[in-house]
Amino acid sequence: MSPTYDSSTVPAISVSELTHSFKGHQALNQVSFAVMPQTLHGFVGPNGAGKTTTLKAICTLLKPNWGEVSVFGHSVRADPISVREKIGFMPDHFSMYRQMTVFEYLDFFAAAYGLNLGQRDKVIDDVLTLTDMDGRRNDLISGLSRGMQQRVSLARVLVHDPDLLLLDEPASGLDPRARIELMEILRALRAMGKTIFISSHILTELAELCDSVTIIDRGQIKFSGPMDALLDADDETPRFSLRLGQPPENAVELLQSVDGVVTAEQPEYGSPGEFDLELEAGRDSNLVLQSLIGLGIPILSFSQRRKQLNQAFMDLTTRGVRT
Amino acid sequence: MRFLPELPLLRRELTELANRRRTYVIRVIGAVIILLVLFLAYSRAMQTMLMVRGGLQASWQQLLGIGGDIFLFLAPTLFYSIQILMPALCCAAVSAEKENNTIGTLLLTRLSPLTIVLEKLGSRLVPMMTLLLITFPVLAYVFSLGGVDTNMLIATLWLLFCECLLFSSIALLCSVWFPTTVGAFIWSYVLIGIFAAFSLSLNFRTFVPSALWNQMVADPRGWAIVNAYLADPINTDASEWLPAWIRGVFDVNPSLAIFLSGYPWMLVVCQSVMSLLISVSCLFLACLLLVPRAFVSNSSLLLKVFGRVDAFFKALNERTTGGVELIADSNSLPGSDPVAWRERAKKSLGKARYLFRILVVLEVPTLFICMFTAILSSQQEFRQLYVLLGLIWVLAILVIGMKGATLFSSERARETIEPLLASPMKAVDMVRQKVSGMSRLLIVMATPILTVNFTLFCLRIQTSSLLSSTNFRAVAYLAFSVVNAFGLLYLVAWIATGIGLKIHSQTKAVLAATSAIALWAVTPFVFLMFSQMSWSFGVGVAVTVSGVCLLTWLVFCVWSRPEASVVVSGTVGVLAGLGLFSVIIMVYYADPNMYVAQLLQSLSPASLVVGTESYLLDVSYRRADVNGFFVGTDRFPWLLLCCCRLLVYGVLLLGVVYVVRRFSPIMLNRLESREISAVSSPSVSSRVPVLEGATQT
Repeated sequence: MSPTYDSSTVPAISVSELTHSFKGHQALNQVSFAVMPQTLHGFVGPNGAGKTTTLKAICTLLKPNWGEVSVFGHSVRADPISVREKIGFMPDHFSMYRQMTVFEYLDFFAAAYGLNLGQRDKVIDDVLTLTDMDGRRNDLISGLSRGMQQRVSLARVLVHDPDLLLLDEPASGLDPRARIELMEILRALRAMGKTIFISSHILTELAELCDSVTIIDRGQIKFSGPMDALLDADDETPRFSLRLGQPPENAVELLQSVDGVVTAEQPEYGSPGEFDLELEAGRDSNLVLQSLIGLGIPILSFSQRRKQLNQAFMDLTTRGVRT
Repeated sequence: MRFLPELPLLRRELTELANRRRTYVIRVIGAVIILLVLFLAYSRAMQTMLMVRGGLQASWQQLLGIGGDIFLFLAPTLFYSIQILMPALCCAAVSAEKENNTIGTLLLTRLSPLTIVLEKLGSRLVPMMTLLLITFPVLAYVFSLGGVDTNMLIATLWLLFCECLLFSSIALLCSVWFPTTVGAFIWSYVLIGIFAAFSLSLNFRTFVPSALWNQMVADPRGWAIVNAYLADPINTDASEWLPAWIRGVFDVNPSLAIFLSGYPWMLVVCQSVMSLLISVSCLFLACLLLVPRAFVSNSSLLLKVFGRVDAFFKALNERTTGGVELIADSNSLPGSDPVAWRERAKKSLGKARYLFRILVVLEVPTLFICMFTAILSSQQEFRQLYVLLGLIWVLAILVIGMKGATLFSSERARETIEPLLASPMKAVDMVRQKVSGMSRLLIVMATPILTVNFTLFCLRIQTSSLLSSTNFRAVAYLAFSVVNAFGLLYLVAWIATGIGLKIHSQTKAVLAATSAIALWAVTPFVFLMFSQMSWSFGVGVAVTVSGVCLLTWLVFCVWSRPEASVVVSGTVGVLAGLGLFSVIIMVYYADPNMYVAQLLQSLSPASLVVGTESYLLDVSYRRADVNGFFVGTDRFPWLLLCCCRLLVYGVLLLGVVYVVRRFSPIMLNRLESREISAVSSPSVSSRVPVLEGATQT
């Protein structure tokens, strides 16, 4: 459940008319969006869309040609030091100091973030516990698996207890188990009140995880807002999934004869009892369900079908190679 | 039917080469340097000719024959160019494929290791050959002046090719062996240095084409005796110039010698067989190692060696003492300087224990060499000891320069820098901590230098003078030596760090740092050489050099498009430097004396060391009249000059440190100042979409 905000809430990230080009190539063109505190915000776009450039601008590693970026009200141009104290940035690669142990690595960054000696042990213990790396604290990083290294990287991001986590493709290259575990950690962090800005290509997981999403394509924002708003958009004719216990042979004709059903069809790769129904716009689905029950066929499930994130993504982004 | 092989790799490499702007920039700079050398050689030859052949009234006919003098000046320059450039060109041939993870796909194609190695070799030989090709019109002009034998020309061209092949083969072998270009770059030069030192010390001149050229072509006696031997192999003694196996062949078959008498260059070709064999061996070894070394891990070789040494001594200690440790390893943690801690605790050139081993490896041979050279060269004013001092200085500056250049570029190459840059630590602090992490290495590299200095001091200073009240010179010399060693190495460290901050690639950073330091050391002497020529010629060349410097800076600015502040400060720096040179040269022309010459030399770091040695020896200068006749000696105020030089270098160090610190956020591409951009947009609240309502474009 995402928290509610009033108009006075300062956004965790506020990007306004961000524009940047590299040697004549327009990477970002008037990009504007906002991320509210304590939410998990997905940042999605095809390769070369400008995701990493935007992330670098937010985490003070890029001076944009135009526009304003602020983090919890601190401008990245005017007050980069304060911004850095508030963010934890995890880049899209697994590069770490391989000759250090896990503890030394975290202690190094704790020192770089200015934590005093007394605080460090406690903080490192906490982040190692959170990322379930307690037992590997004295292992060399070079000896860890990719999934483990990613956890250490996440622990590093958390070492100074930032309010905002900027994660660039955190799940890339991880096996399914490591990916699921990472998502669990991210959920736990959101529950702790962190704001998480996550750039990812794995749309199904983002759809489950994120409260809000921004879709960027060719340097321009195509959508920014709550996930529900994206998935329910253009849903004038509601679609439902119906699963019948013992479907008769003429089930499709029967279903189409029900009042309020526009079309009924069996999905191409679905099981024999599954049907997709498209209802008339504005029709009460409860009344349709009553009519279906009236057919006397056992109904196992009846649920509204929402647009998938990847479908929304495909609808919003342009096909083809960027020139 | 296809007669020529397709050579896809060579084609790809040459296409890439042709697509790079720097290819053409390097060619232009190469051509300018060759032309400058030609001017210099021409001027020297003219001066010699005027003095020897009839003063200022020499006619143009008397110019004929000076081509030989110019040629003997020009050809070594080409050999030096090959020695410097060829390893740098070749070291990335295979290692870059490893770094870019493209070696696997290359090996999966139908190209065999032999084809890959040969095509890579070809792709590096072609650019070097094009550079040499630039000199052909110059050589044609020199040839037309007379004094250059056709055979001499052919022999030189052949030996230049052999030198290219030899150096490129060794560098290619290093490129195959090492996982990184930086490793291949360093070891290429080290191996070539060891190979050259080994060959020359054992008098195996045929192993190194440039040494063979010096013996056979540059030495007029050698060339004359070889010609005489070919004409009459029975009665001519050429044992000093030709190896026994060649003489054996001609003894058995004298008619062969008579046949070759018209083509003495073929004798040079025969003698170069050894260097060709060595080249082929290196290439063969590279073919064999290409696949086994294709996927080696990118961990530090030095760290691995030290790790094994540690394991060996630990096992030995376990067996002998049962594991008693007198001084146990302290498990230190970053403290308040994490970046410096990492440099000291986690790097092979930072750990105290490892550095101590390096110190022993450097110091023990230095002590032995000091002892023996002191004994052996006592008759020659300890000349060899000065050679040793020069070599140690070069090694120390190379090591410190390379370490400084890779401080940041290695982090960029391994992509570990971004998390660090996203931390609140200031760029200035990162730079300061990185350089302070090198302090132990500075001590280790300065120690052999000070050892040689101390040896010289002991040999030069009488024990009685030490005990007398006039031992100020001894104390001052030692103090100057210590300050020189640490000050100069510290300055090199900061310059190289600044270059490494700007240039992202490790190889380019190392190349740029070493080139910049070499240019800095050599340029004042080149200017001095020009200033000693006739007024019009000297000024002409000085203007040309200044123009080239400005042009290079402009090309750099257009090419890399640095920040406006960098452009302004760099332009001011270049103009100030050139202005200083011009003023000193003008002063020298107005009143050519040793003081101004020393002042000009002071701009090179080499003069700092040479000046201190001169203070120890209290060198006096010969004074000459306008006709060059000796009229007496001048006592030179070395102490004052040493103090002035130290002052200048102190100011320079402060300036470099200030510039690197000031521009470090820009060079790290990091927002740091509290500037508010003039182009920032209007109020955020009016433009930023809020989450309650979605925005869709």
